Amino acid sequence: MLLYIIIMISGLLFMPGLTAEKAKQSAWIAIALASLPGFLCLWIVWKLGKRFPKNTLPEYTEIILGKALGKVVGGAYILFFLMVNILSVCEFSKFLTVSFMPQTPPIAFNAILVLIGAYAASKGIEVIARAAQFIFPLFVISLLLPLISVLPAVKVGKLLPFLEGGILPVIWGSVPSIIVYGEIIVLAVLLPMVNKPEEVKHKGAFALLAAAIFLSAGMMFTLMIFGPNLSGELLFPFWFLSKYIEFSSYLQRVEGIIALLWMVGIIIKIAVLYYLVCFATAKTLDLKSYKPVVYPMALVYIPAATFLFRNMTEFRQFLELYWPYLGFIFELVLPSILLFVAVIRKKQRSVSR
Amino acid sequence: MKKKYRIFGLLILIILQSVISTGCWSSKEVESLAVVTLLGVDYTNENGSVQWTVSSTILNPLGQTKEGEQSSAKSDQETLLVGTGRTLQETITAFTAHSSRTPYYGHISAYIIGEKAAKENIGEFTEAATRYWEGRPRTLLIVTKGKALDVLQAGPAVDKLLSKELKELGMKKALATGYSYGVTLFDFVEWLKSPDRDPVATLVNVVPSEVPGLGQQNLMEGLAVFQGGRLIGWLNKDETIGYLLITQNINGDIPLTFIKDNKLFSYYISTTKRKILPVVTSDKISYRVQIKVMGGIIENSGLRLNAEDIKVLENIIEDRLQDLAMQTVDKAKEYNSDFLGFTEKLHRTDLSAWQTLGSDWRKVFRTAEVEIVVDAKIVQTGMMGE
Repeated sequence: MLLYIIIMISGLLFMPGLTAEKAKQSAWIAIALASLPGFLCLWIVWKLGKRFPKNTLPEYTEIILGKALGKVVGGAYILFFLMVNILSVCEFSKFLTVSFMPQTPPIAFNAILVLIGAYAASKGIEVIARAAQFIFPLFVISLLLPLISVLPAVKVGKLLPFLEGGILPVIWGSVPSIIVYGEIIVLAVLLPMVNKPEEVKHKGAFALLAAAIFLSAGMMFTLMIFGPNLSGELLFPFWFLSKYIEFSSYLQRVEGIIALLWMVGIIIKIAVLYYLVCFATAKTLDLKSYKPVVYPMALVYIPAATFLFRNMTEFRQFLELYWPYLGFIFELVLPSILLFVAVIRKKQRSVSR
Repeated sequence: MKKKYRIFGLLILIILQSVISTGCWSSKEVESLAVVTLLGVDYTNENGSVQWTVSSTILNPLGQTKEGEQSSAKSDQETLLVGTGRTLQETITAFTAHSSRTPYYGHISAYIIGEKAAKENIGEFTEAATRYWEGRPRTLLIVTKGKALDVLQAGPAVDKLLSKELKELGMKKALATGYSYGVTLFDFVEWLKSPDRDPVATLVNVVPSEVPGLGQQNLMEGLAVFQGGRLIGWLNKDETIGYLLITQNINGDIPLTFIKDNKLFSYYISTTKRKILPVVTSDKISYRVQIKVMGGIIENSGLRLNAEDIKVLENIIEDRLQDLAMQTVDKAKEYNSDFLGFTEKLHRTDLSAWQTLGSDWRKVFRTAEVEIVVDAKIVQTGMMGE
């Protein structure tokens, strides 16, 4: 569930627009397609986790690659998680700025989101997981509500022609979304903390599948309402979808409630990633507890999320052009190298610190 | 000690929360809002000097109507504001300059575009409207012959609020009565952006009132036809019914009058279903439209209809409907604008044929043959027992 929320949230806001721009009416296929590397990532993480059931990612990088190189890779991962987190804070505060409160300075949103995340992170992973359990149904409702209530206005014909221009635009369109599914990499750190690690493989796969289905369905509905030409132009297609709901005067303007539920979802995501960053930092620096790191970390977050991107266009460009490749390295390439080296050097669970 | 800190932390969170929930910097009190209900846009370009005129109606809060004064005049609840400027942004700031309240655009029910603006610069406006964060996707897009300001000045015909009247007409009644079709902003923008279809917009005109002595009123009748982003013509009432027959599945009550044996009959269309089939042969493209109509006759000029009569009448009705639809198709070809969605259908069903068309798809549409097959049924004859 935790994983599901993590993936869904970032998939919801920007990805549909970026994908639709390239893949047009086949964008829903692109989004479904993008989940495949996610499964691969899950498999690698699972294999690694099986080799080192007691250790987390920053620990077994040191075991596999040796102390110095391991620290470097661990540090790189901290930066990566940090980046993911900053991006999601950024993403949501930009979303709020653009669609709700243009006058409010983004630093206010960032500070609020980060501080709540920090508070949750300082309470530990179990608290976050329990909160996620509570929020999950609400979150699903916030997704289902727009989908169901636009049903009467749906025109299936807008999905045609099927695969116009061949498969290539679809593949290119799927590139920005791959990173979203790849966020399953958080399991690499979380795995040893799970009660029943055996189930994680199935649960993770299930979360990926559910996210893929939901995101793809969301894209499909957006396309069927707004058509392929308009969807690519919109900044937040799914947001417009929830704005579109209007049953004369009975049910309309529900987007406020939906955005509120998304906000709850994003806070969970931020909290998890925040926890990961602090935890990994503490492990890499050989600290006894991660707690001293928590609040100082906010000092990194808030300015970074506020000043990293000057405007929306820059942010979108980054998501489209650079982020996929960066994510690709951290979510697929590095884990597979780790696994490869581990297999060759035959490092096994016997090593424990 | 530790517990104290925790309580302190919680307190801070709660205080923060109460600050957040007011909306901080973006907070707006209802009293200080000017709720814009309609936005009219006019545009003139004389020898290069551009002038935009934005006129809007603003909902008066109920408390502001003076006591004892019954709201007898129609425009009592809506105030009209007008502003001019050289760019849209400048104009929009200008029209609210007189008001102490901040405009709020989340409740606009329709954008009304003047003829000149529609002819020359509708793209600029629709783009701005789509981007603006308070705007809503289902706002109606209405074009008028003449100036948008006149429409707003003429005021509502029956309802108290013009905005409400236009909204209800556009969303429900226009389609059901066959007078027009409520085109929303996003419909319009989607057509505008699509490479294979031309947009239409709802048409509202200022007409003299039917009740003598009441001045002018608005009438939603017909459609405005665009070619790409340029207004090029209008559809009258008959052509609008043809448009609806071809492009929509109607569920309403559209009257259709025809003559048989020198007697006037009135048939009403209650439901229609349509299907466009592109037929591609080696050298040309033609379209086949199948329309299935169900309806009834209530007014039968005192005649008693038997089974054979009904069959004859059905044939006459089919001819008449086919005629209406053909009129619209001819008009579309005359305007060189494929607002009926034929090419779009071709694009969706026959990709290779669409690819050969290239940029002159409008020309191909103009030369394409269109065949219309109507299957009309009379399911109600409105006859009571002897």
